[in-house]
Amino acid sequence: MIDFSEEQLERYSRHILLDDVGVDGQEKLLKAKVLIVGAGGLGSPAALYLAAAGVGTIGIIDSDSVEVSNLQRQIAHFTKDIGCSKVKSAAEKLQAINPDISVRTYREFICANNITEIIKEFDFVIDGTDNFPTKFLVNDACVLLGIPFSHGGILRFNGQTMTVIPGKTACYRCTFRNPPPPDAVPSCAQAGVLGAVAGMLGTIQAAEALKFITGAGILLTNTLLTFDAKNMLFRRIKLYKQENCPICGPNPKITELVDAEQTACGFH
Amino acid sequence: MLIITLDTIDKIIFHSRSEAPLEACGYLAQKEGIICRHIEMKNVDASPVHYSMDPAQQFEAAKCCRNEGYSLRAVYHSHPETPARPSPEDIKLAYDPTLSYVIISLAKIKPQVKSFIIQKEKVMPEDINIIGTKKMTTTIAADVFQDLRGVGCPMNLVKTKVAFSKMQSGQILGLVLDNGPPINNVPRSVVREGHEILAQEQLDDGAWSVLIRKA
Repeated sequence: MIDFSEEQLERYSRHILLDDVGVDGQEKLLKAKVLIVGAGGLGSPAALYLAAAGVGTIGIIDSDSVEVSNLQRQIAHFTKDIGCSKVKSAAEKLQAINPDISVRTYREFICANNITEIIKEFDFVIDGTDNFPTKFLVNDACVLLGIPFSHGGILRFNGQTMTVIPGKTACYRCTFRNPPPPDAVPSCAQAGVLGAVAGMLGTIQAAEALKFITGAGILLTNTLLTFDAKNMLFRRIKLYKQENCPICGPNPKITELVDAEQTACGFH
Repeated sequence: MLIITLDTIDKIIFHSRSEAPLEACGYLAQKEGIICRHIEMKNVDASPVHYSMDPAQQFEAAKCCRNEGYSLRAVYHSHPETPARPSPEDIKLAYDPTLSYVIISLAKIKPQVKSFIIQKEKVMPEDINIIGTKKMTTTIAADVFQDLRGVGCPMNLVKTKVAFSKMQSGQILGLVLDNGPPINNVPRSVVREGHEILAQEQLDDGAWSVLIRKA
């Protein structure tokens, strides 16, 4: 068992006080490794909360650099960071919040060739990507490696999220099967997004990661949570693990990872 | 045979724990053959392995005892890290053959109290007869002890939870909590988590001594 320093006891006191987290839960957090795919609208708040919570190792993967148009919602990045790599900018903020933790940065575009090597080290993955092909790739890699993850997506005033425990609960492909045709769904860059919606969804994902690590409560599994922030309506849609799921069903058609067709604007 | 009240044993263990990691020292005084009073002395060495008393304070203590109708019966001191046996130094410095030498060891979770008669550098163990059935036996009954005086809410509860996390189910945690919000909040919170309050008692300084059995 970890001997908490006085400073750590104070830093994590609000967790230790929670019956469902406590000393054991905080110790689990300090030993946990969470990967955040995408240091953007969802990844920023998720990463900041996980760092503050004392998740011992946080990985961040993103190939982009900070642009001025990101700052309206990607709260890990500041105006001074424009032009800087997103992973470096985010890592600086995480370490500033909590020097206890270690941050691993991967400045690359996640794809079928590199995803396995990167995610296999982690206990939990947060999907904060901005395009469908990568969302399916994250799902498939997590299912093949048996790594639990939180799916998340936002557009305009809307958000959706679900938590997947591979082999046990409905996966993203059980629910959505294949990526939509390129350009069938507009990206944030085309359709816009309310900045705070990114914060709402990213923090739900962070809460799921913290619940998974500590074992507190009931995860958002077999359920798609959607919300419409314009009317502040929340809805839970019941999901079922599908026998004919091409990745997590008993007779999977997908046995290795491939990159789906990527639309050019999907990268933004 | 050293006859001592449970309350006094409790208080010298409490004193030892409060001074740890330094050695604590003091006198035990009797009335009608029963030790029922302890006098805490300053360890002028302020050391984890030695103690010595201030002669002026020694003189004051002896005088005070006499005036109140007590007589000095024993010297006590603590061994924060080592067993309850007189060290070679303890033996050499046991100047008064009319007094017993009581040692409180905090080396194990449960404190040990032993008494010795030391005459001409010869050590003889002495039986201790503990009398009295005081309701509150905070320090002697506790497997783990934490003095949380001066620790406010909620850090006192955080420290209580940390202490519980290192204990087995059924073991007893002794706490000292400040009066006011600490005594109002901490016991309530631990009960909510399923632990059992065995006893609760206000001390002379206004703080509260609480015994809790871990669920």
